[in-house]
Amino acid sequence: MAKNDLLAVDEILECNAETREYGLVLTREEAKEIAEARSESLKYYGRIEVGAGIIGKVISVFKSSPYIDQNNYEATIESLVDIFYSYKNETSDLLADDLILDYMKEHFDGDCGGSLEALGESELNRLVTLLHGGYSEDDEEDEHDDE
Amino acid sequence: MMTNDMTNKPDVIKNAIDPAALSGEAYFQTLTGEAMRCGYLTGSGLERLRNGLMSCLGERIAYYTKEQSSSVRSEAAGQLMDGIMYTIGAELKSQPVEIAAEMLEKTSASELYSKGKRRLRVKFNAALHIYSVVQKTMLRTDCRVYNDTINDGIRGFFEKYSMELEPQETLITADYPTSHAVTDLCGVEFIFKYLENIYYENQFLALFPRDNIESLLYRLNQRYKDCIFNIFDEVYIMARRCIAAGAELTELGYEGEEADLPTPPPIGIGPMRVISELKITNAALAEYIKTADPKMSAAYMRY
Repeated sequence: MAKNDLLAVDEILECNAETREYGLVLTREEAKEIAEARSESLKYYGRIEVGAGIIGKVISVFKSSPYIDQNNYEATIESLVDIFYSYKNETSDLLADDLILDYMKEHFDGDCGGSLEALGESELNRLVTLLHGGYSEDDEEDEHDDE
Repeated sequence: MMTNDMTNKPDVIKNAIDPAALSGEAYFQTLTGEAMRCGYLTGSGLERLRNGLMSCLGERIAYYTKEQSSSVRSEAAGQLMDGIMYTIGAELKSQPVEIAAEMLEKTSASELYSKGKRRLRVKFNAALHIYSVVQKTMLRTDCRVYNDTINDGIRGFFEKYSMELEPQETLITADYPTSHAVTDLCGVEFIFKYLENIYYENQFLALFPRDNIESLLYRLNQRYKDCIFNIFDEVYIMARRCIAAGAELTELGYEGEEADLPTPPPIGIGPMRVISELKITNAALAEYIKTADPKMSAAYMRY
């Protein structure tokens, strides 16, 4: 396991102290799974992160979600971390981590009804459209074609 | 096997580091390679160094994103890491090469980085000082590239340079060529050396009347104002011709020079003669002229 992932495991396990009251606890094995999945996501999205990075924040923000329980906890965190990096890339790093996490949490618990698929696709598209001043990337391409 | 009395560890026989293998632009990277090859840096030392670099990168990412993002795109991280290695290289360059190689094993990356940053800050301030002197001693000329590079280009460097994020970036092209080309350096190290060269060349040119220089440049090329060439070289070459022709060298011209221009200047008139005729006592300037001479000898072929 890479040194960066080992650091992440320790930091992930420290989160148990604050998630226990929500009935959410990760074992060392699960923490390793999350850290390794994070590394895969970083590689996929072409990003670099040192230490636990965003995982602790994702756990902290989403621990109170009604759609997360002990049964789906590890898998959901892995997916949320992956979706988070896709948000970072698609928004061209214009938005701070906290802003993106707040947006994701609001819509995951709201419109998406706990659907990771909706959060990673339609909600992401909506945010990107908002950032482009109400135009989606497709609209912009159409405009250029007209010119 | 010989042993070290203090530690009882066997003395490691180290090979000599090859200076030719070291790059001025990528000093840290090339020294690390040499330190490994020659036995100064062990496998565990390299691992420690790598982890230290990652910690430095984490801090740079936090600075770069104003602590708003825990991750950055790989390209941005690569740039930041290049800056870290360049900064560490500045500290390593200040030491004898064997000591620097040992520092890679014994000193933490964060300490090397913070010492390197201090060195770069000193170099930046020194470059800024030379720049103020260069501006005051500029040749009054219509040569556009000379004026634009010094007035706008270099100023742009000082306005944009970031020691925190991309200290390795030179940021400008420095279009005006100095007689000694600055190679194998980048960032503030390049600018410092480049300005030092301009400083010596300005000192030399100040020994000649401004009108004589402009007249010479015009005679050599009527469109000289828009050409990219080194003024010092042209003045130095003509000074040698003047000496050979028995003319006053500060005149930078003599009767019948047109016939001489297509041929190289006489070999017997070397830099020492020019230095003596101009009564140059500044040893550093004299050295600059002496080391510029062989390069120009090759360039005479174009006449």
